[in-house]
Amino acid sequence: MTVYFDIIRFSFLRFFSYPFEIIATVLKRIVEIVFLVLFWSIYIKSSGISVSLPQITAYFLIAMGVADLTMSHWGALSSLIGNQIKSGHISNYIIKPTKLIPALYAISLGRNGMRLILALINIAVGLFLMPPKTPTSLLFFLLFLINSWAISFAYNILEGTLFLHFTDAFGIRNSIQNFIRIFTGAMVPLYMFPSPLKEILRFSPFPGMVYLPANSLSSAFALNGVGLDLGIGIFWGITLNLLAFSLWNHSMKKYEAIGI
Amino acid sequence: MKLSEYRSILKQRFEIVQASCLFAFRKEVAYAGNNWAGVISATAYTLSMLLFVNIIFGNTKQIAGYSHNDMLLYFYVAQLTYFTNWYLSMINIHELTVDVNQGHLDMVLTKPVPALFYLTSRNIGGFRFFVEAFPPTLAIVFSINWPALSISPTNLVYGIFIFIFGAISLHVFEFLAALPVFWLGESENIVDLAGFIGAGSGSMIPLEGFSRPLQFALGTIIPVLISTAFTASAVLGKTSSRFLFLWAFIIALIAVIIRKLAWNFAIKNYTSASS
Repeated sequence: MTVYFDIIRFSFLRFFSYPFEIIATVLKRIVEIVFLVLFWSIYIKSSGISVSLPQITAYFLIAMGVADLTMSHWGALSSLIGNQIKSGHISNYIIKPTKLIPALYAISLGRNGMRLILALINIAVGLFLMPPKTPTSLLFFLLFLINSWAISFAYNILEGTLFLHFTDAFGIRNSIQNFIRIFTGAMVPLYMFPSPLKEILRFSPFPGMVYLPANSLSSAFALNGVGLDLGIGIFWGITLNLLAFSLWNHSMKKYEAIGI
Repeated sequence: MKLSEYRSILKQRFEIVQASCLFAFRKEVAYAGNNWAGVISATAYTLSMLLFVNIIFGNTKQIAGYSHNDMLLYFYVAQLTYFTNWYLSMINIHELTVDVNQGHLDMVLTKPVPALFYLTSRNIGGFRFFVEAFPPTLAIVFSINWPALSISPTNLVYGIFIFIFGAISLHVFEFLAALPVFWLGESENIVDLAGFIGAGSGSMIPLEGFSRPLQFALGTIIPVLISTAFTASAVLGKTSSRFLFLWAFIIALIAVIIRKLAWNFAIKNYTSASS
């Protein structure tokens, strides 16, 4: 286990070679939030929906935080797997005395350490803007967050597996990510979706990735139906991980390393 | 400057652009898979955004005075801005940061060509621009109810010019964001930030949605609103197109001068990797 922590630490420290790049990363996040708040403030004024600006701002801050923490939004792990396979560098990790997926996951965590710190700040600011009504909300947030991590992890592995079958799967990966942004509630809260689509999406793995953890902390959160949501999330978490690992193992057997 | 000298400079630059286009074309067709991947990705993004616009307008008739149809036109202009900016500007800017970081700029500076012009036009991805931009923008074109839009020919012409001036200003803004690489050794994230500001402010919020101070700031100091928000507003006749045209023209002119001055300053401070 210590070796994985060392990998995280080493990958994280590499980022500090260029301090101005860190500032740019932080500024990028601030700009993202500013434009998001600006858009939704205009939208609330125009539409007259019964959501206040602090409520929607808090939702998006938490949603962005969850998406970054679990890598459901930007798929850092799948991106790393893709790059390593494409360049042939994955062979370096296969021959090392570490497990492949945990080692790559540790590298992704380390390289994106700044994003993860910003994600935690996002969630903290979101909670400050709109504190949860009851401790139950916090409990459900944690449960949904763990579930989101499980689904997102499987999703990263599945995306990474694509690179073992295609020379360059970044186009397919980006396509998936564009739809993921919408269906997970990272761009629009799912309660704003038209009714048939909302109901269909409820039974898919997408709400569990961002919407359910973010919404569990909002003031609109109700206990009614939360058991079903959690049950659906657990089902997808287990099913997708089983599927992802069986596909990964199956595909890795066919991997032809360069230089070995 | 004599007319013949001016002609010779123009001829040389035309030859550089010609060679750049040919080189970029060969590179692009060599990896056909990348082109398909780009088409799939761009089309998926467009479809997801069309879905987003539909969801958003499920709860309202207008956003900042823009109807669903107006917003689709706005999104169309935003997509054109993205493709123009990426394939004509950003690829070269990214290459510039890599060249300075890895010391390849020395080689470029020894070539008997105008360095700034060469560096900002050496990789014009014309083929990928058309291949990748065509299917997604076509999807938007078919989504727009064109007869319902009131677009006058004058506004359309002004809009085209504003778009070009906006693209120039946006290019200069991103180019300036790349120059810290001369002092810091790296500026990839700063360039990404500049590109992100351009995309973030241009893809969702119409000009009329910004407050006056923000319109001024994002239309002058950080000129990211011009190519998308100004163009859409002028074409739709929401704001005086002549006024926006003049604004865009002045900013583009100043931007081009600043680009030249900033480049000269950066080159004076460049510590070559090999000498």
